[in-house]
Amino acid sequence: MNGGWRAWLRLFAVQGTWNYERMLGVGMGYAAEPLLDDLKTVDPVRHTEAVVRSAEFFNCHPNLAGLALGATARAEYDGVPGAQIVRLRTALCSPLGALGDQLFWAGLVPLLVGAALVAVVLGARWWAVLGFLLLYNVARVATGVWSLRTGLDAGMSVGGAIAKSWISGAIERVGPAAGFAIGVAIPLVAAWYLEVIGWPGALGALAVAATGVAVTRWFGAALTAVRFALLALVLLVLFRWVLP
Amino acid sequence: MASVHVQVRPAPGRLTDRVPAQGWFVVSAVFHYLGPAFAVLLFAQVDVLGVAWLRIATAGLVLAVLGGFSLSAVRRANARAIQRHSAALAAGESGAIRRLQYASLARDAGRAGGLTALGLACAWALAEPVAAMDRSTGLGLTLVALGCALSAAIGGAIRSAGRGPRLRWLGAGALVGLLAAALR
Repeated sequence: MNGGWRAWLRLFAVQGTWNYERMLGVGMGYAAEPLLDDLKTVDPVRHTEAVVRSAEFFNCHPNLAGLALGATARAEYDGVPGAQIVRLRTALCSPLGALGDQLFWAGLVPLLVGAALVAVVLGARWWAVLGFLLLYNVARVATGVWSLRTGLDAGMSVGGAIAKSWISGAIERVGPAAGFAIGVAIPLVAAWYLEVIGWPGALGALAVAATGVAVTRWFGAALTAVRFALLALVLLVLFRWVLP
Repeated sequence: MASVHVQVRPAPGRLTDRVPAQGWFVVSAVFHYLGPAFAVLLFAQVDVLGVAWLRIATAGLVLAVLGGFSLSAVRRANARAIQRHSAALAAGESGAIRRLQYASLARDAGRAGGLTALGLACAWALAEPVAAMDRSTGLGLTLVALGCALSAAIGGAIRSAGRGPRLRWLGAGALVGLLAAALR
């Protein structure tokens, strides 16, 4: 089977055709095309069926989509019955979504953002931003290569390969580290900004922040942070209007 | 051939089809006169800074609403394109998948470009009134902006930490951060 690197490159745009009906489906079909090319010469009928299956409904975390892509492509070459491949795709949706969200959105991204913010305050400035971009993208690229290779090697037994992999261990470590990094970053960055406007202004900003946290938690989705900010701006306009 | 499930929804009755052309003319004419009339009344009541604030709030609102709305519109357009190509997808045409993907990427690029242009236009329109602000209004804006940003950061951190060990790590980190801020 050839086309692994082209498929990996195409996985960067796997969310390109995201929609409410097939979700990642068409993006997966686009990424699967180079992997399935060799099947065309061996078994054209099977190739057509495989292309149809590859673009059907699918959803998971984009950085781990390679696991499902590689596993299903390998299964097509192994001659696994189509219905079984469809079941494998369906079964992989939720676990890959949950693992990827915990690993990246709730783990690595807040960890690196928190660390970068602390580094900015401590004087690293633009180097911190560059470091964040570099580290995140190295992790993302390495995960993408690993997931596609693991999927291609494991085929239908990709579930076992995921269970035995480094992912669950990394999630256990990266979650608390992310919480700690964000916890350190918030007071440091807040103090860095607030020292410019002096104590009375800082107390005022902290009062606005405390009010914002309280009311957004109280009202939930009805009053998001953006809506609260707009409300605060309107109140400021009215205040300046009454007391020019 | 593998079975393909394509959900085809009936086209909803569009508002533009149901309302007669005269209706749109009446609505348009009323708002063309009402808008300036309200604006004249507003400018008589609100000073230059008040108008600047209204502009800031409006620009923020427009960008905040359009950001989510345009993403949803792009996704709906993707779904409609897939429905149009459902026969080709069911026949396993790789070319159809490629065309859908490239068209969707172009739509998303158009959205990103449009929002960026809108943001720059808002910044350009706001630059002059913001520069003309007096000191106390500038301080008020800074205070509210910092407070709101801090509120969003704290609220988001608490929400994503949940109630498990991660929340304890968040608390420990905040203590270390406060200590570091005091020692700086």
